[in-house]
Parts: sequence; structure tokens; C-alpha cells
Amino acid sequence: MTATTAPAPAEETVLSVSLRAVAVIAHRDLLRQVKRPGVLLSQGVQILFFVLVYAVGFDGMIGSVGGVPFSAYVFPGIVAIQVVSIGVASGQTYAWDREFGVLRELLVAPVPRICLPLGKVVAGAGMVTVQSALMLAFAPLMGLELTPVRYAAAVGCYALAATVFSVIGLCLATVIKQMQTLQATVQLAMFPMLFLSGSVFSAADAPVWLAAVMHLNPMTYAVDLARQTLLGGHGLLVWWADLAALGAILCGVLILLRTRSGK
Amino acid sequence: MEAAPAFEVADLVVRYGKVTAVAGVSVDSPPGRITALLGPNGAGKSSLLGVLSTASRPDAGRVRIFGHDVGAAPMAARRRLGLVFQERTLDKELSVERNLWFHARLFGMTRSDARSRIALLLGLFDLADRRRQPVEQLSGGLSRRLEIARALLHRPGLIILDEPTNGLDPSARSTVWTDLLRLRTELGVTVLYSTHYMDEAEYADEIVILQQGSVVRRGGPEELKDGLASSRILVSCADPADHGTAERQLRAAGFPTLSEAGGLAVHCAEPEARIAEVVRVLDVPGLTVSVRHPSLNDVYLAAAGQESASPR
Repeated sequence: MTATTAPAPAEETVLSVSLRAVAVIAHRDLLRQVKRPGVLLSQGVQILFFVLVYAVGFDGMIGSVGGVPFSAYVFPGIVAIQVVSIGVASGQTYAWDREFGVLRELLVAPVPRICLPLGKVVAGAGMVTVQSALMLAFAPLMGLELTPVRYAAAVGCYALAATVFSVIGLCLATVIKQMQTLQATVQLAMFPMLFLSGSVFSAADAPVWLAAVMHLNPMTYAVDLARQTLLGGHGLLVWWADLAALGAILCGVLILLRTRSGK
Repeated sequence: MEAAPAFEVADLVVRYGKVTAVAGVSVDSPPGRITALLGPNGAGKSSLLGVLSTASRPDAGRVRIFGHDVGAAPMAARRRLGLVFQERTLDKELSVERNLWFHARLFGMTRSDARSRIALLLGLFDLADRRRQPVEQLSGGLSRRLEIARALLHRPGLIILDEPTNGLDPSARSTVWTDLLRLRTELGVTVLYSTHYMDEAEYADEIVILQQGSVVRRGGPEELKDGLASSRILVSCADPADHGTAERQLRAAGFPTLSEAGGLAVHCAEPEARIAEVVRVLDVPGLTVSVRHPSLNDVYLAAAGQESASPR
């Protein structure tokens, strides 16, 4: 056999160790996602269903919102629904890894523990961002004028939203240990979060009490930012306020994730 | 040459709420030794291994791996550790080779080192022709071998195995033990494992028996058995009715006897030297006389009996 002594490794900084670990975990998670084409297909069917119901079906009935065709108005929200639902679900892979024992092996690797969830965020948010970029390519069919700058800015908005909601999904998975409880909680939270976010109707048109509830929903800021980016004009808040709100939420959930991850 | 002990546990306490799983355990091992942890379910074996593996934190006490404190320097300790958990921790969706590759990269091995080391270990553990097979297609025994290979990939000095043969058939168990014994003889790796099987404990240089979170026996297999002083000559008659006669004859000759399943037992320090005397004094038909030395099972049961009898 061989000697037990490892060759002297080059001195690595904590940053380089962390970056390597995040890349390894992300690579592993992406590989697993690619091995499940059925999941990707079902996600494609889901977005197609939303487009058919809201952008096509309701478009004939509602016509326009503030001079914008309803299909164009609702499209940024439909993409956001996809980004948020898949983002939160990607965070739940942490719970599956825990359920199947894989997490134990990862937690005793000589890397900072925060790298494990961060690797999952990179994989989950990265995959969702690619999907949102593909979906945005169909925006002109919904009546949206898509310039390269708007396209790039919108992809950036969805990348930020995907990151925020992947981290929220991970936080839930680290806080709720029971798989069934976690799934039930996510299911319970997801429906109001997706539809009370301004994705289909604006908080400005809602009763005061419902608008207040919508302002508590982090997804509202993601939808508002994406809609302003793609349609131009004024949103619920000015764009930088949406960006600041999403940034603040991201900082908050990252701190929670760091606390839950340990050393 | 390693100066520090491979592992060093001092006054370890682990609690789960109001339950104390480990109550002041102190054990250590020099490099190259094989140590077995024995004890019933709930004795604290997995809790002790959990802290040693850096997966959980102690409530009190000190734990060092090759001199690295697992609380203060967990990453340095983890680099010297190879772990095989009680439950399967392989990624079933990925191939044999991919599982090893991601482990190697997480442990900071360079790509070229990882490639050569994976090829070497796949060959050593007879897994080379399964390198592209998904783990979910492997048998329990092969999965275990892969986990042991993975634990060795980054060249640890200490390998910890929590009930490594749990759920395996006798043939797979035997193969796993052949592999594990090679670790020390060929690699000089220190091994710490927990088991419920007494025959597996015999492989160890030192056995630590835990009961209700405390060490109740510690020593080499022979040392523990010798310490029990329960070697005996077993006497049985073809007709159980003759046991009374045999007992009277033995007592008359000065041999104290005790009843044992299937006959009588004469306890003495060197039964081989005295068996001829026993045979000479017995005059009963259909006599069978044999010698029995204490087994690890006797040691284990004696430890369990002592612990349950002692006030807590």
C-alpha cells in the first residue's frame, strides 16, 4: 500500500479553502440536478402553465394595466414566481442531504461549514438564473420591448431574487429538522408568498390591509424591481429601494444561515 | 514520527438535555493502535465518536486528534481524520468515482493527486471495474468498502468507524475486516471502531467497554480475559442424574464446584494443569471433561453485571 503521510499541501488561505469548497459543493449539486431531467422538465411545464393561464388566458379578459398589455404586465411576475418557487425548493436539497446521511460526510470536511450551504446557494441560484434568462428570451412574445441592457439588468434582478430565496429555503431547512414538517411549512408559506407579491396584481390596487401584508412579503420587492426593469416607469417603490430591501433581507438570512451552520 | 497521541479524550461529558450520554470518559491511543469500543445501545459509544469526529461538540472535557483540539482547531483535526459512519453517507445518485472525487477535492487534494490516489484505492478495494457505476447499484458490502476507501483517500492518520459491519452479511463482514486489518499492517493507520460483535472486538489491541456513559473496563483482549479469573473445567455426564454423584466426588477431593448449563464447573487458575486430577477423582459413566477460558463475551457480561449492580 502507500504511506499515510499526505504530501505537504501548499499553504491555503481561509478564503481559497472556502472558495474551493463552495465550488466543489456547487459542482456536486449541479451534477445531481443534471441527472434529474424529469425535474427540469416539470419546471418547464410549470412555467408554461403560468404563461398560458395568466399571460394568455387573462390577457383577453383584462386587456391592459396602466396602458401596458396585461401579458406584458404579468410576465415579470410569472418569471419571479418560477424563480422564487425553484429557489426555495433548491434550498431544501440541504434537508434531503441530511435525510440521506450525505450531510454528515460534508460536515466533517476540513472547510468552514458555511461553505456547504453557500455551495448549494450557488448551484441552486445559478440554475434558476439560467432558467430565468431563457424565459426572458420569450418576453417579446408577451409584448415586452427587450433591449440588451434591459435583458441583462432583468437577469441580474432574478439572480438576486434567486439568491435571496435559495438562502431563505436553506434557512428553513436548517431550522426545521423534520422533513415532513419542512415540506408542509414551505407548502403553507409558498402559495400566499407567490400570489401576494404583486406578481399578478399590484399592491397599489389592493385594499390597504392587503397592501400592508404584501409589503411584508420579501417577494414583493423582487417582483417590483423586475417589473420596473422590464417595463420602465414607476413601481411600488423606487428601484433602489427595492434593491436595498432585497439586499437587507439577503444580509439578514445570510447571518441566520451563518449562525445555524456552526464552525 | 508522530509525537502526539492519535487521539486523546480527557474527562469528556456529552449531554442531551437532561440525559448524560458520556459522563467523564478519558481514553487515548498512540499512533498505529487499533481500539475497539464496546457497550450496549445507549452506552455512549456514538456520542463519544460524534465528538471525536468533530460532528458534535462536548459539554465538558478535552478532545485532541494528533494534538489538535477539536473545539479550537476543528479543521486541522478533520484533516487527520477518516470517518466511516454507522449509516450510509455516500451520494447514491453519483458514481463510485465521483463520490471519491468530491471527497478528495473537499479535503484539498490537488487534481493530479486525487486522480492517482482514487485509482490506487479503487484497485486496493477491488472497485476499479465499478468506478462508473452509480452507488445505488452497489451491494451493502461494496458500499461499505467504498466508504472505507473514501475515508482513506486524504491519507488520514486516524480512521474512526461507527459499527462498520452493521447490517452486513457474514461474508461482507469478513471482507471488511480483512480490509481494516490491512490499514494498520500496511498503512500504519490508527483505528478506532465501535461494535456489538465480540468476535470483531478480538481484532483490537485495546478494548474499551462503556456502560451508561462511563468506562467500566479497558485493556487488551487477553488482559481483560485474564483479569476475569473465570477459567474452568467443565464436567458433564451422559445421564444428568449422575451430576450429583460427580459433584460429591469432586467436593470430597477438594474441588469446589458450581452448577453450569449442562453440568458442573470447577473454577481454577490453570485448568489445563489440573484436568487430569479432576478426571482421576471422577467415577461416573459417560463422562465429558473440557476446559473453558473466559471469552470477551464473559468479560462484557461481567462488566455489564458489575455496572448494573453498582449503585448510581
